Amino acid sequence: MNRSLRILRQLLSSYLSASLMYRFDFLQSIVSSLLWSGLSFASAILITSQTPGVPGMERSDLLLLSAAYGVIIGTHHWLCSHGFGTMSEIIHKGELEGYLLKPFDTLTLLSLRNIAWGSVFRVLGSIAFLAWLLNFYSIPVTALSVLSFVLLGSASFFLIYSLYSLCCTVLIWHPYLSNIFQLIQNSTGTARYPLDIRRYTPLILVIFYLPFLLVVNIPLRALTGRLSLLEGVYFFIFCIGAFLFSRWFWRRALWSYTGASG
Amino acid sequence: MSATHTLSRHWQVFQIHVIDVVQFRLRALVWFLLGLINTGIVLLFWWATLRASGSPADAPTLPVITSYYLLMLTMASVIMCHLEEDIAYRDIQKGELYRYLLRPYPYLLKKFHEEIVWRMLSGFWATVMILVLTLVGFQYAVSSDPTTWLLTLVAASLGMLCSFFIKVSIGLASIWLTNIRGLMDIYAILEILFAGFLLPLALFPSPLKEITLLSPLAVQVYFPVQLLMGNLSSPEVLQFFALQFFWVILFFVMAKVLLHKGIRHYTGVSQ
Repeated sequence: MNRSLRILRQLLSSYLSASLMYRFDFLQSIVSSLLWSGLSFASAILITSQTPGVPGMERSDLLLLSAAYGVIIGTHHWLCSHGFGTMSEIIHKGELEGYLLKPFDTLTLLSLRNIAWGSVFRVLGSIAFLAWLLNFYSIPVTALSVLSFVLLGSASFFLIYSLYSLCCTVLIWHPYLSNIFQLIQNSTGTARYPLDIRRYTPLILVIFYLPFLLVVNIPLRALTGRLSLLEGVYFFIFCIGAFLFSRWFWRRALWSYTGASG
Repeated sequence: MSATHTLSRHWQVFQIHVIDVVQFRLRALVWFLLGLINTGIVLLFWWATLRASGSPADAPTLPVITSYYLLMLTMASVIMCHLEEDIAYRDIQKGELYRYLLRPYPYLLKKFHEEIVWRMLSGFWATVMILVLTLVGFQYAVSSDPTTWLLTLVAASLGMLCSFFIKVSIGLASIWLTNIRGLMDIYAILEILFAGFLLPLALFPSPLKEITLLSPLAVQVYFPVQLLMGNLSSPEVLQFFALQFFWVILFFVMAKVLLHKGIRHYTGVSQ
């Protein structure tokens, strides 16, 4: 455990140094990250300007979801997303064996390969905006609900990590399918919509979106005191299950890795 | 060189690209799925709000809004070009541009051939989706007038040209900027917000609606879709066509100037 934390600290400081070395690029990544965050809020305002107001799917709900999305998904973008993005090239060029030989878990190393420090500003901005929204809409928050948000938000982080991992593992069999990363990235973008959609649409149409919707909706419900203990426990178990399955799937896929480059 | 010979040359280049792209048909499917996922969630949100509120009189009806988003998805897969990253990273950053410059074939035309085959393949997956939805009984709210269909074809072709020249200009900007990630992000955000993918532009609040309708983003996909759905009057159709011509010519000139000036600036040294 200590060794893993030391490696993580080393990776964080290495990528921070690299980011600061290319200052203009770093500045650009901050601006991009903030712009994408702004898109979430602009989308929420635009779409709710015309859709009928329904409890659970109103502007305030969408704005809160966008802010919570910025915290949870923003953290994932900061630490892992870019690492997953480079996996296709590594696998396609047959460079994976170099990582397999290293004395550290390969998937973790690959996912932490490109820490994007520019996203930290998005996370911090989203935390501030979430706090402001809670105050603006007079939503009571207790220490326990904040703790639940942090706990379930961490579980969500592992769920989203598992979904990325499952998707990128497919690259072992189809290394040329580099845009599969954009597919999971886009799918993650749907997490900022309310889970209440499920109540009014057929399950078959919404089933694909469910894991993504849970990622942000469940921790936010915990924060706003709209989540039962049982729902929270089920979600936690689901996240652990998804994480263990993704690890198994990755190990299973490695049996098929040939090392041949494209 | 005779006209037949020129045509045959273009046809041969096109065929080579067809062979190239068909190898990666699954990639085209993934690109199509990206659009489907984004459109799907907005559509589900509309469905949920309209069903929960009992479809108020001032809101669009479910079949109309469903047709709108599905047509936007279909048209976008055929019209919207995605070659800016290829130009910026493969041709300029990796220094592959010199190969094109040495060949006796215009660079922009070669890129257009590549892109048109990708659009056709994406169009194939969109057609599959239309067929499946028609088979399950969904009826698109589209015009039945053949002239409208013909005009839609012209509008879609001009929309594609507009998208192509904009993306070429963005890609070529990397000759000066080196890293165009920020530029691409800004354009992608504007596209999501103001091209009609999030919300029909007619439903935008004023004056945002009027400004957006004049932008090059509106003439690419939104205009052909509105035309096909029969939502535009004759003066509006004429106005949109005039706008399309204006933007196509403007971005064509911009792409040509950027290429001309860029080649002089281009060092050929790759990263």
